[in-house]
Amino acid sequence: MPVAIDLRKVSVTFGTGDTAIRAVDEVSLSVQEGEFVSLIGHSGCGKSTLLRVIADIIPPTTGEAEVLGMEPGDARKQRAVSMVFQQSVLMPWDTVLENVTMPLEVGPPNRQSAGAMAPMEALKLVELDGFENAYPKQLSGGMRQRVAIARALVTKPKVLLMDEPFGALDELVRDTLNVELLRIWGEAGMTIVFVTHSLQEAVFLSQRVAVMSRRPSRIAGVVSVGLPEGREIAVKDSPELGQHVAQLRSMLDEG
Amino acid sequence: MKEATSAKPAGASGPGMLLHTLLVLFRGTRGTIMAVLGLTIMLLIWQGVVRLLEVPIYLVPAPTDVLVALYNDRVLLAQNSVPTLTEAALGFLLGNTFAVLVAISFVYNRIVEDLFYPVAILIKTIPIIAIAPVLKIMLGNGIEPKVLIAALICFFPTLVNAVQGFRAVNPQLIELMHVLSASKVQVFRRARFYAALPYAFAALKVSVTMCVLGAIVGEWIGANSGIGYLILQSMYVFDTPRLFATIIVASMMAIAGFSLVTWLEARVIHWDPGETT
Repeated sequence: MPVAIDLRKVSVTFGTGDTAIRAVDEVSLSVQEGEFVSLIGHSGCGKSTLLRVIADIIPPTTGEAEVLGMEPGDARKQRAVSMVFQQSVLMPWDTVLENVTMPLEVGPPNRQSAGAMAPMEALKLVELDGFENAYPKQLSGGMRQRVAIARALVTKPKVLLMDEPFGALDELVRDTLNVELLRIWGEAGMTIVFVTHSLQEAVFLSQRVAVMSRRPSRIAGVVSVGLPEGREIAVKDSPELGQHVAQLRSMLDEG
Repeated sequence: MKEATSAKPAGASGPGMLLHTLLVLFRGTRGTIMAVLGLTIMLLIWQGVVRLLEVPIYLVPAPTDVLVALYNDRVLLAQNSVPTLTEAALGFLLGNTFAVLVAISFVYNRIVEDLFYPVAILIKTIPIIAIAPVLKIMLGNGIEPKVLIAALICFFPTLVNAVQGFRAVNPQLIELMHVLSASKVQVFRRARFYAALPYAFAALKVSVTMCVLGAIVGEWIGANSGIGYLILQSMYVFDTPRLFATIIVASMMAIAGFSLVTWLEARVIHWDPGETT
């Protein structure tokens, strides 16, 4: 399997001198193409910063980052990367369809719809066909997040970065969307890096879970999970998942 | 605020727009009735006091005297409204257009902002009435100084609000568009422009009333027609009822402009500006 994301001793420092904050400290991590990896850790441990390094929003202060064998900036310009946030970040002035179509109308002209899927197809993937003419304010939180996912999928990204995408939703909606995300990942087969606070969610979704420690902001360890394919939500209550969660928790406490 | 935002814009007719403004301003039907009632009570007290104390008409006319003046001088008032409205409207367009362009240059160029924001604030601190004579000397007795004064008065509130509005985009939306390699123009067209609209309308509501004031001040400095000219003429001849009538006409112009902007705002901004999505 080729490597999709390769981070080598990546550090990010905000500010300079005495007030400098080292948000990420020499993190090395490599993610295979098509892999689903979660990042967990306490608030402020640099998970989101690491995601932003991969997305070419923040440059690493030292160290090297590679996405699909390229500089993160080049991968971004090829529109190989997409992102979902904790808030849906929809444009309230646009309809659902206009929101999902937006990625195909921005960017370099020759890249705008290259290799993309039809916006309606993306809406079907998240089971929101029929809502294309609704405005975001008419949708529930879970539905808005589905729109955000459709908007991220419409460019058919090779790498999907998700920054606590279900963190603001209630547990029932989160469970549903967890299962749907696995289905979409199974169909589309992209690489997913998923930041979350929920150990259960991380274990349920991922093939591997990377635990970040707080000070210094490093990767304390990576756990391979490997739950059976095509798992259902009941797996969240299985003893096997519980064991992984317990293992991760102890790693977090040590970190 | 619930009722205010849910008030649907009425038809494009003048009374419809005015009604819509009232409903928005006074938060629904009950508020509107109370406001109209309050005004009526005040006018009745005014009428009563003036009649009871037998105040001479050239000192303080009663509301009914003003109504008579409004009717008798209707042609004169209408004729003099035309230049004032023209100056105010041109000034409104000029001042706001320029303010938005300057705001865009500020948002996209930090150095330009650092250089010229202080200048804009400096201009703002100069009383408009003090600039008017200078503009008259520079531009003469025509329509130009009046338009410019009206424009100047509109400029600052719109500049401040537009700068704030263009920056009021969810930072994560900017991040997402960066990840999608959107150009600055694309970010502006898809995000900043819409994010700024509610701020812009807040500013337009202020400046649409101010531009009438600007035109009148301009006319005071030197004009042969217009509401400002009529105010001065009425003052010189102690025609107090007509003076009050011109005040009402000037106020009506501001209210009409305000209604138009409020009505337009309800049409354009169909989303909840405060919502976090």
